[in-house]
Amino acid sequence: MPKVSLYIPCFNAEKTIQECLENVMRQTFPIDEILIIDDGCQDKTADIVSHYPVKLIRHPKNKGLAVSRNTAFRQVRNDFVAALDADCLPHSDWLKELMLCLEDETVAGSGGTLTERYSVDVADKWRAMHMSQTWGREIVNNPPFLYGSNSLFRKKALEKIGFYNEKYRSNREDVDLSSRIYDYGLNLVYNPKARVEHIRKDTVKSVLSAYRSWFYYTHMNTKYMDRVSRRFAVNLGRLAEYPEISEVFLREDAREGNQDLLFLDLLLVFYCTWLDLKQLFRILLLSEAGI
Amino acid sequence: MREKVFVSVIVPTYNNKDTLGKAVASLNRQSYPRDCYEIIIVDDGSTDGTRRYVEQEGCFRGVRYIYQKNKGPAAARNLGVQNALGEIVAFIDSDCVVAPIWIEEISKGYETPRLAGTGGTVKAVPTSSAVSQYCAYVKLNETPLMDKTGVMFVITNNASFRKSYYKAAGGFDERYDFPGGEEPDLCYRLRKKGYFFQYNRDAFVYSNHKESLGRLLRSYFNYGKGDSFLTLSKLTEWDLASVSGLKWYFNFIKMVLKAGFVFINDFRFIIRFMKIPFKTLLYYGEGLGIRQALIFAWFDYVKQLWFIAGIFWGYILGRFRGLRKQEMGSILKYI
Repeated sequence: MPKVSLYIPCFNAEKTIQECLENVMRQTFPIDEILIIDDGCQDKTADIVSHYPVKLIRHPKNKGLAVSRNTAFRQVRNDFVAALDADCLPHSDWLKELMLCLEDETVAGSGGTLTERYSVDVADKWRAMHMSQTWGREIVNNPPFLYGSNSLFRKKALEKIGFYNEKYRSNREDVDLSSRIYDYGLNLVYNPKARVEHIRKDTVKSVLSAYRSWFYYTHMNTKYMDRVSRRFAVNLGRLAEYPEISEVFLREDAREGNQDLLFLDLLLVFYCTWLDLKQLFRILLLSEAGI
Repeated sequence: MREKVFVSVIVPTYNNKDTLGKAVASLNRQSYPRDCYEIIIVDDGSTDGTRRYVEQEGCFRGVRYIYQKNKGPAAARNLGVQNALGEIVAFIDSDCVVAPIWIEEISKGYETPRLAGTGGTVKAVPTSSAVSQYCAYVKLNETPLMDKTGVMFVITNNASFRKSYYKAAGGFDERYDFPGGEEPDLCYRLRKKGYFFQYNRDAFVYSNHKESLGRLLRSYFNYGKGDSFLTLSKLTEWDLASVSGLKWYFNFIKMVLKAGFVFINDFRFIIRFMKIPFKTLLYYGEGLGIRQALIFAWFDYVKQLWFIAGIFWGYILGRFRGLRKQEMGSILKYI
């Protein structure tokens, strides 16, 4: 039986990490080593984790999700590397199902589906509707991308394409990785039987800013990220995308009969635009400081 | 006893004999054993001498040729399926060229009982024309549309269906006599029955079907028409992520009219127009040159414009064709 390493990137995850680890211990597939990547936590995460048979790796300060993932890949000793978010509870067959997909040599990675525990409050319902991390109930070969929250990759395959791009700080690094894997000619598989439960709880503000930061890198080309002119162009140009996104969401919610979410769909435009304008201002100031 | 499942490849064509030869030639060079698939050309009333061309050219030997009066691609495909011998029917358009492993890949996975169809990858081949470069850059219709419920629909210039399910669902709705909207319609009906679709990335088709701006706009006009047809046939649960629904649009207009705005019909056009500079910035930020970014943003705008025009035209057309009274699966003649 092949050996598997599992890593959990953590940033201030004291509320959920214990439940998460309890579920990890109950996996039917044996896990060879568990790595906790402490990305500069300010809370009791390290204390809680110390009660479990895991290896703790600390970043002196917060460096972002992409760097944490790469740290994990540098430290693991096995070829199969599973990733799990600190607020995700895996079903007991989760790892087994993910491993089943990797029997074929050309498959570089596999991912599972994510269900929400909390979907009653407006913000949580909105997240479940519009930020659901799933590709449906059937196996999908080569989905648009694999969500990073629960996935399994071959380290050898990722070595060939150069691991995660650290310029994506904490968002969209999974999309970027998937697209580079496809460009290399390898396959990815989505398996809906590998289930994970998301125990995140959101407020209106946090869910909208989460959406915005997820959307942040969509049109960003990391090659040009350091150039102020290109970056400024993306930041400004993106503002016109929010009304369109909002329109799609409004239609979806109206059709599904979620009247309570309509307000949030509209709010998305204004809140995200506001956050973006703040960001733009900061870029302008920084560039001036640079000169 | 054949070692592999029999596949019928159906190529509907309309006034396109220049590229039809290339398509069929690429279908003849397949890794799939030649006695395990057949090629059916359905001539949708071409007037450019396709029949004579097919009879004369050598590459059409062993290819079945069916002629029908001009009724649109949906009807042509249905006719092809009626005449097909295989358990699996695969579709390409006559302006495509397929990869040598195409049939092998597109016919994979049918052991799964509930699988209704497969879609492949359509690579737009960029040439010197700006429109084809645009299509290649935005990856227009490259893969089947996927969302959180899985593969929503496959695009028929590179797709295969299980024939029995195709027939049970009634085939393509022949009231769609233009290329647009008929595949979401059929896939929706099949998915509603509990079947699902898959995506096979390795089933490659190369196409430069949108060479000129006219062709791009015409196809978006058709997509708009198709969108109206979908809405009118009460497929309200259907939703296209990138597509604007007519029903929602009218509700929106009503809502804003109540608020007292008068020139609301121009609202969307103005919004789209205002998007041009923003889109230009986005394309520039993604790494294109400023001139190309401007051209691409302009394409985005006119494309949307024609799409909306298509929605209006499709609404009028659909009313005349009585799409309102449609019952699900009313086209039972195939069963």
